[in-house]
Amino acid sequence: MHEDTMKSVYSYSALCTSRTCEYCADDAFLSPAEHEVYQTLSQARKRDWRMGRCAGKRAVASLLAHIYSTTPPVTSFEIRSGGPPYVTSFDPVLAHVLDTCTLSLAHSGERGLACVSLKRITRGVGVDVERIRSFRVETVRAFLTADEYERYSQMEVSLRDTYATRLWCIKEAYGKACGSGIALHPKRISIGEDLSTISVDGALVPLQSLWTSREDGYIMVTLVR
Amino acid sequence: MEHDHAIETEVFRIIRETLHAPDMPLSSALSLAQLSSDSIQLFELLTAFERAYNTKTTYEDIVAMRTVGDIVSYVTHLKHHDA
Repeated sequence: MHEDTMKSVYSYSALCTSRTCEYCADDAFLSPAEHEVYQTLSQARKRDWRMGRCAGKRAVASLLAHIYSTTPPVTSFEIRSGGPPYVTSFDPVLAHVLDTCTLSLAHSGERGLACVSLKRITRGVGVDVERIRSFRVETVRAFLTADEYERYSQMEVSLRDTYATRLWCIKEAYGKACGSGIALHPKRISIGEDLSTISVDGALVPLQSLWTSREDGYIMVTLVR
Repeated sequence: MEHDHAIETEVFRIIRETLHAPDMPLSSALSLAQLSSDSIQLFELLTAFERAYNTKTTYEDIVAMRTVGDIVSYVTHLKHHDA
């Protein structure tokens, strides 16, 4: 598990890698309600969904352990989605605690990533994970700003796909952290040259942390506003 | 607005080409989430439709789309608007 404690003690991230993750090897970590949802999913969707839930529940468990000095069984709370994901419980006391959390989930291929924090100290968290891929030029032009595209086109060809994937992930994570998702067009989001600053419509936006990583052909981003 | 069969066939072709899934079973009822859970693929789909129909789709349009049938309706609307 990766615990992102570099800049914000109260944001916790977790990573699930399906090949090596023992935590979600079976369905025992799912709450009864989650188990019901899981059974309705197609076979193709089940693995992605499970990885996202696995990372999310581990991140929430870490936060609860750190902030509230309690780690309830992971089957006692559940992540719901169908819009921005949130975490709740059938136990009203725990549900009240969980209502103070803000959560983001992402999955791609063999990776599930999650970050959770507290609503009272952040303005939102966002994560994204994507496999590094080859982009069509027209796709890159459609989501990079003019400055980003210039940097992209001046790079060595071998570095371009990683760079474009990284920028996509940062933009996607920022959109999630704002709660707007794809409603915020990626071209409105401009990433600084050092990949540590974000501007929206030309105005610099404050961030608590922006963590990016490249691992086994994947780019992962965790962002806390 | 009723679906034009020719437009539906064309939309299905663009989806299959863009997602590199020539045998993908498609129907108007299929949700975009079922189509692909990959946000980049969905964005590539958007740019493919923009190229095919020489239009700029707004994000408000995209957000309103939930199913493949919504895309067909949107393209049908574009074509009738152009006519």
